[in-house]
Amino acid sequence: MKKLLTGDCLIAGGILITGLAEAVHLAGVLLGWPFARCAAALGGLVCAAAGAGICVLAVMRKRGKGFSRGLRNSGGGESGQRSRGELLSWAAFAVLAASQLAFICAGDTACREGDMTVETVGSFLAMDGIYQVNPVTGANYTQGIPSRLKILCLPTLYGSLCKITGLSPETVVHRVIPVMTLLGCYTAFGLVSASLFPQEKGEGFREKRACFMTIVSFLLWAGAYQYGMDGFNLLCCGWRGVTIRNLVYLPWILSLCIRRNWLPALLCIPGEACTVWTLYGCGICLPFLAGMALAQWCCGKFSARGSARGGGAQGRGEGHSPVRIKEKCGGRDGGITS
Amino acid sequence: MAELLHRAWSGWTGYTDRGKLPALLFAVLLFLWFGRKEKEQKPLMLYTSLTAACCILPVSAAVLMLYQTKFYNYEWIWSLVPLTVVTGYGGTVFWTEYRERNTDSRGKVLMVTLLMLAAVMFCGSLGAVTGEGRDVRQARRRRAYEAVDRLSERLPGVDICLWAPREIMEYARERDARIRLPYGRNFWDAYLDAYAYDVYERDVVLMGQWMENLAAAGEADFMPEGSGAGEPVSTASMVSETEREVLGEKETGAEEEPASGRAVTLEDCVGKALEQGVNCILLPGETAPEILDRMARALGTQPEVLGEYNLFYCESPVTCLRKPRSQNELPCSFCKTAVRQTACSCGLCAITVPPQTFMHGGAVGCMGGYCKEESYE
Repeated sequence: MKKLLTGDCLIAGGILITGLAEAVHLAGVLLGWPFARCAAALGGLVCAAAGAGICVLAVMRKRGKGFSRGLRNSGGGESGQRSRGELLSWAAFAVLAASQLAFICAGDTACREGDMTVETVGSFLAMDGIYQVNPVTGANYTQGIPSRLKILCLPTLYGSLCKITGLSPETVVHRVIPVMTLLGCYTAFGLVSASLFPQEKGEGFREKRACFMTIVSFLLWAGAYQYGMDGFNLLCCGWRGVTIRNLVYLPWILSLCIRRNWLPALLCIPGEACTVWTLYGCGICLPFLAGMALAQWCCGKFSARGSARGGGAQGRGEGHSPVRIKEKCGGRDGGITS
Repeated sequence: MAELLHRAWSGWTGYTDRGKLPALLFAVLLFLWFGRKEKEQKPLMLYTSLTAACCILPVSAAVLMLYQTKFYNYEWIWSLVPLTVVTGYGGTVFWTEYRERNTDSRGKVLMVTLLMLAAVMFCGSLGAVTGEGRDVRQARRRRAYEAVDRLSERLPGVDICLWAPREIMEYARERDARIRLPYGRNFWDAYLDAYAYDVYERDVVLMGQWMENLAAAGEADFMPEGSGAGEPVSTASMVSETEREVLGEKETGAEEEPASGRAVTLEDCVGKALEQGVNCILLPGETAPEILDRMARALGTQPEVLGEYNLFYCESPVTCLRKPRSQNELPCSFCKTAVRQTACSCGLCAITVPPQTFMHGGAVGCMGGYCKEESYE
């Protein structure tokens, strides 16, 4: 596997937690586990996974394999002095991100239309079981619910968080989780910025990254005008599976695609299947990944052809150089390293 | 397919109606393709251009909506387009390159920066979330939460089944999931119907209509456009779709329900509520005294003031008078002998108890959890 950044590990860890939640959720649905047991099992599994993950990362870091610290370390090529433009950009980004954090924490920004996660989590906790009653009424199901919906694990994850922390479902779903999604979103966009403006592309990459993050946070504010837009999803529906997919998984996939690090990107496909109601479709992550791979392949082909023609005219075979193809496409051979 | 094409086209116009971020994306793509020589992120530009084109053209948009199984609205096909990333990338490239070319002219750079900010602000709306005002929503939620909290404090440990005006019903289970409701938020939010196959019976729909009529017109009796007792209906159709069809169905033979054209009275609705197991009713504080009197007579209990509402609480289990329990004979799930269901001591659930939960010689309880501790004589 190619080298990963800190952000990659954080997002992959988030997907791993989702996977554990899915396992526990299925145990609750299929084996009829009480919800308290599900929450305890998930807590234990997450602690164990976190411990194991930290150990693995520590060992990898000690050996200097497959892992780099990313944004901070990758700035080592430039002089240690940060430019004024970069500092200003980071300051503007910090103000915008903090205002978004305050907007979410202030509450009452949640868009409840078409969503009943709070009621679902509350019914799990009240009945000590998964999907025992219809969340909107508290009465027994008379006809049942779609099985594809029944296996989505986010309510169990949020309910377990409520059970462990003692917070109310409303607080967890409408405040805590959107804040975590915001952090995940900026982690993913940070990775995108590192991929779009790598160190090897010349000077000023740090300033470009800062500028990119500022513009993205500004766009997220500006896009909070309509249901379905990234900004609106982030600020008003941060707990929904589609938001996590659109603002964490997809930017991460994009970042990995640009770095040609395909293997971790595949993680997002089961991650989406566990969190988003894709019905009988395959979701968005798979076509997104396939589309990007295809685009890179096409660009590689065209670049190779163009280079071959150019090389032929010059009477040399340089056009076939894979390095040159990758340069033309903006692709990179390995991950971003320090 | 024609409908899907129409939805795709109207979806695009609706998507660009309120904000113009897609227009900004196209401006950025034009700049990236034709405004500069270097194309460092060609695959990203290619992918974005193609998917954006697919989302705009009605035929391809319809195909994408079909792929999304028609459940999600048009705007969700734009998930495939990395709009924020590419717009941010283009903006960064444009600004940094312009700045490099004009290092000696700060005024120009500042002007371009301000123009870029203005463009983004005109294309979107900073934090102005559309729809109902935030303050209104906040106040309504706070009122509902207060009412639910008061109710829970007033009746600690009681298994509450609440019937109340919409502003309470919408938030009741969000605040306290132990509270049961005869109808929930999907009564008004049709999208929530997708999360379960369950439908409401006509009686429940009439209850909801009655309560809405009381809140709107302050009248205890109302004339429904139609009724079809006992028949399940989609809650989505309850609010918006034709009641006439139901009226037609009703005329063909609904039993023991008011004939079409007959008003639904407070007493009718109280009977239906009791059948549903309701033991708490909240009426707005401004409800007319005569309506409160009628409600008190129908329930056999006096109202008490609970904040801005009047609370009717049926302390003792209510026995449904409309359908005597003794008429219900249900087969035992073990020996298939018809078991005469005499009375559930909780008095709330006999009509909805599924037959398979009765055991020969004494039931252990219904699946609803209403009377788990009770047994049947």
